[in-house]
Amino acid sequence: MKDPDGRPDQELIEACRRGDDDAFAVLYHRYRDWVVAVAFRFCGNREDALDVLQEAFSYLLRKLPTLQLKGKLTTLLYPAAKHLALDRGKKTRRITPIPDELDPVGLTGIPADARELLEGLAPLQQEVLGLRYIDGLDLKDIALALRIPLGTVKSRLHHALNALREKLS
Amino acid sequence: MHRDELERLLREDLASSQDEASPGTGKDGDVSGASDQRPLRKRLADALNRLRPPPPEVPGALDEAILAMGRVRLRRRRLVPILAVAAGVLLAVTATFFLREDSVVAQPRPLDIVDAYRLALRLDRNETPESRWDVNDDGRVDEADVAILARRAVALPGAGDKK
Repeated sequence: MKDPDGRPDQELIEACRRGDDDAFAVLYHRYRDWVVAVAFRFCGNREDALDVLQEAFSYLLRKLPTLQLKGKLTTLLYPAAKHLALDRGKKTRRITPIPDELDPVGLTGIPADARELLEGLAPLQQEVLGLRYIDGLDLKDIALALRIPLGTVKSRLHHALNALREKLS
Repeated sequence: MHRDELERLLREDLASSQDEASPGTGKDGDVSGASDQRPLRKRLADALNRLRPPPPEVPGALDEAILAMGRVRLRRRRLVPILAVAAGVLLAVTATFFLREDSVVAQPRPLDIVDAYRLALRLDRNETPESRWDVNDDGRVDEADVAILARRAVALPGAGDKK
């Protein structure tokens, strides 16, 4: 997620709040691919993922006046992208029946061998593992994104790693 | 990255990081900060990261649409303070004009041309202004008082009323 503008997210948010649309463009390019990837993992559909991208940034613009970031912007964008993608998946399923169940932990786009490895874990453990190792969020940001205490994140990660160890042994 | 390699990395990583992910460890929850400095954990993260499917390519038109949406909404935000100031000024001017009489009662102040105009309007509407508007002390409030007020309002400083 490197970009030429080194300003932290909160500074860019403040600039957006003052009406600086260049700051919004920096945030957009910083998180665009990540939001699409998260959305794609949860809904498994290219067009839906692109719709979620637009809705997620629209949501960000609506939240701007009162937004107080405690971590990176991912802590806001992750739950937004996740829930928008799951909602889209439900709507799509109503229109066109999809044989597979919706993927509440976002494993749809992960290759089969890795999926098999992760599928034995509880959904909440899978989600924490995905956020930590696939999305590269730190534990504090995972806690903020999932709106759970930091201790719970550590606990889930701990149990997930232990479960993986058992699976591999 | 194949499953075998991933499994090997996970095994090595799990063996070395069991304590790290334990609940309650790490300073202020920054377990990840320490772990990222460990080459093995970093390799594991990189390996899992490579498992991500390439995200769908975002068409340029969609980029443009989202950035345009941002421009429109943020420019609207830029206008808000300007409109707020304008509304405030308008409110202040209106209040100054319509509430002037109250402020005379509340706090005496030099009378000016607006007072003369307001008094003229009231006389024109056949209202009976309070006796304090009888500035020439002739026992009634009429056009003469308006004229005196207006003359005083436009008089140069130090010129006074010329008889």
